[in-house]
Amino acid sequence: MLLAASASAAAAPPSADLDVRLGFGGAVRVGVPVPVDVWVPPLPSAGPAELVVGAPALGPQAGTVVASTVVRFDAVPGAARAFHLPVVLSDVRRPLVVRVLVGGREVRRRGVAIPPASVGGRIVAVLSRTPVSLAALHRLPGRVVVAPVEPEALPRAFQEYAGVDLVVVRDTDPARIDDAQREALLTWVRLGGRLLLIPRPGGAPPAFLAPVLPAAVGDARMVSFPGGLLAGYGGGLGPGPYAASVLAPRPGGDVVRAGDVPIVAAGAAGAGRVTVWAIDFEAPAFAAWPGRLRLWEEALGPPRRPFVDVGAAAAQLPQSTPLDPVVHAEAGAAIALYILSVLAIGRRYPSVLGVVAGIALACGGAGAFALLARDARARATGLAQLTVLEQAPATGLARAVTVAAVAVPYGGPFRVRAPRGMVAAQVAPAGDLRVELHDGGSILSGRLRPGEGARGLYAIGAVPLHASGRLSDDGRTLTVDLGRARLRRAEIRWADRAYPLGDLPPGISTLHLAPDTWKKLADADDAWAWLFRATDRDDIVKAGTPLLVGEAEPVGPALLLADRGARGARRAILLVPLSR
Amino acid sequence: MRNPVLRGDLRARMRSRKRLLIEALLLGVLGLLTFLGLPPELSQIDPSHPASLATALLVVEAVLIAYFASACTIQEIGLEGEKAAVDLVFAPFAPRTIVAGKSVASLLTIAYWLALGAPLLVLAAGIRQEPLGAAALASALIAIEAWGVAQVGMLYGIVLEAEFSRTLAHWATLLFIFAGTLALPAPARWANPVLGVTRAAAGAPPLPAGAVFAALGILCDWAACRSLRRFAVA
Repeated sequence: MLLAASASAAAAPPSADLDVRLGFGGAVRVGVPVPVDVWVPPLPSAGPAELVVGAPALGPQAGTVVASTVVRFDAVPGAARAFHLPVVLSDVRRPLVVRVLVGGREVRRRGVAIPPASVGGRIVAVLSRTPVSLAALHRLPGRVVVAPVEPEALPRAFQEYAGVDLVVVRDTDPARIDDAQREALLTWVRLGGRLLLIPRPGGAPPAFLAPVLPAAVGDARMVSFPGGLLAGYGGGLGPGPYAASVLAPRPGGDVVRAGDVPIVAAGAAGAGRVTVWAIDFEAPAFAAWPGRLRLWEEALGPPRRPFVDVGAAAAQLPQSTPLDPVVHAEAGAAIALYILSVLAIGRRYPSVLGVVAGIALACGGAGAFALLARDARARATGLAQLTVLEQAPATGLARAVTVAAVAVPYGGPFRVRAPRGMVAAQVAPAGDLRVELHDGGSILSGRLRPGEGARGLYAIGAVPLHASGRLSDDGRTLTVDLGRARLRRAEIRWADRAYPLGDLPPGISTLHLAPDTWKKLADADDAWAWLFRATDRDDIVKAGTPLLVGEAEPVGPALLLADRGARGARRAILLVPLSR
Repeated sequence: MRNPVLRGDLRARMRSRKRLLIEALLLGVLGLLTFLGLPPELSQIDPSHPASLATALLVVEAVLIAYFASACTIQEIGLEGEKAAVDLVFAPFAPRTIVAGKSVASLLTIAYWLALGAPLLVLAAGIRQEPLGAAALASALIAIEAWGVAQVGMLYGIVLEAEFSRTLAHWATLLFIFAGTLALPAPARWANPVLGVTRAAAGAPPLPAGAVFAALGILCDWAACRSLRRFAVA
């Protein structure tokens, strides 16, 4: 569950102005939610107040637009407040503008410039009591930015880790990490994040990480490397001995050993990957050892790209809503009735009375047509959406990415509600957007010009989902457990081949696969090509991992038009990695 | 209503079936345009200049009402029971009374027609959330323009005896007002009724165009008075 914005009394930092902390120790990434902490000093007046974080963006057609993230609160004179909220950055050349308004009047304002050096190609967030440079990481490709993070600054929503490639937990005080932060970190790892644990020899790792660790961490021991060699990582190590933690790897993971001593244990945690080092290879004794670069590279993994390209998904959605035929019929009937009434009155009463009645009819008609216009506008506004559910194996969790297109064909404002636990933003900066965070979710509002195409929005969250599938070793039997979900137009995608399965019922299904039915994707009528075309599927599904894809019923979390509930098409696509 | 000419004209117009036909035609065109223009315009070529159904309705009103108002005063459309200004010279009415009565009757008729078209304008503007204030100002400009053109028609009805000449002059005047003014230099093109209404609907002040047509109407009324006096003397 996402705590979108927290507001609480806070101890005053030294400055009496707004105190804004952006990203992970200042490191940010463009186009994804990043955490922003704002400390608001005691305000001079009381009343309904707003914290507005304005992130400028440069739209390809709209020019400079602003995406504002807003939290409402009641200002109490003399009381400081602290807020934590996710903000999507787009144009980092312009400063983020943080404002506080009380009763509609601006009382505090601060611009936060974003230094280019803090915009990471890849971000490594480090939790460590002692300062650490992780200098070796700077030698890796992809402009790695190392961001030291205080435990209190860890996100409370897993979506805020979207810009982070690796979280390193070196040694930290778990008491400084609250339940929401723990849950967010674990959820992020299970949905595809990467975690590296470097326990202090003899020290216990944070207990809350135990469910995702690939090895149990025990007492300290001394380890030496005969011949200065760590298998597979080259020589050059001093013979030691070195202080190390005892690792007891869990089955199924990858283990690097020195002799028979586990030094590195790594394993999957849902869709994510967790690595544990028994030795701190950032210690000065290993500074000259070239093998540690490869260890870092393995922990960091290949650059992550989102599996769902929200732009490609938005392009699949209708860009407008056809005028409701009922509205058209209503309007036609009303116009005809009005004209006939005017003529009938003029004919029946060829006198002053007829003129007065005609004017009265015109006045009444104006009121009725104003209501009709409002109704037609409301019915023309539509919201089409598509949710992609990515099942994280063996976690009971799925990452839900809902992409929506809100259409206001006549132009005008829109208000879309995203459910609690989802972080929402617009697909491309096509216009100003206001994201108002509430306990019950967030409301996205903006305005479309007449005739402007639909505005693309997306929301990311996690939903409980228990779907799994297993393909037999010979590839001829598929066992699928879809839980309560039903799958339409299902197929298996495996490298460059697909196997159509048709519709699959809820619960467990066992299917026998005929080798002749596999088809080459290039030759086939590929219904899901758009989903896989825009991305590298190997990012989420390792090369060679088969994937079950289909249209899911019931559908996942949905965005709603704030005033009228949902209108427009809704689809959900379920992706289930198949084990073998 | 102390003016007997005004009273008589309004009474005749209220009873006229041709007036009903004019209203049926006016409202029919406006209604059809509104109905056909209901679906939103998508994929506009130039989104910075969105098409406006309300402006289209106002332009149609400007053309039709100006024509009908002037056609009635020039007797091209003869409303039953309504006497031409020239015919009233031989009644015991002063030329000023005749012109004032005819002039106000035209203005009130125009206002009534605009009032009948207002609900359709509200629908067209409301559905696209266009400002009704600007549409109201544009409607006021239409009233002044149509009245000014109608007074030209009244003048022609007095000074031109032959029906053919009147019709020819009427259409030539309409052509000049609606098409010839497009040849004016760009800064003065607001004198064109269609462009003036379009500008007013877009929020520009309608005062210059309104003043020109009001002056035209007053000038024609003055000339009509003088012409009627000559008839009376003769």
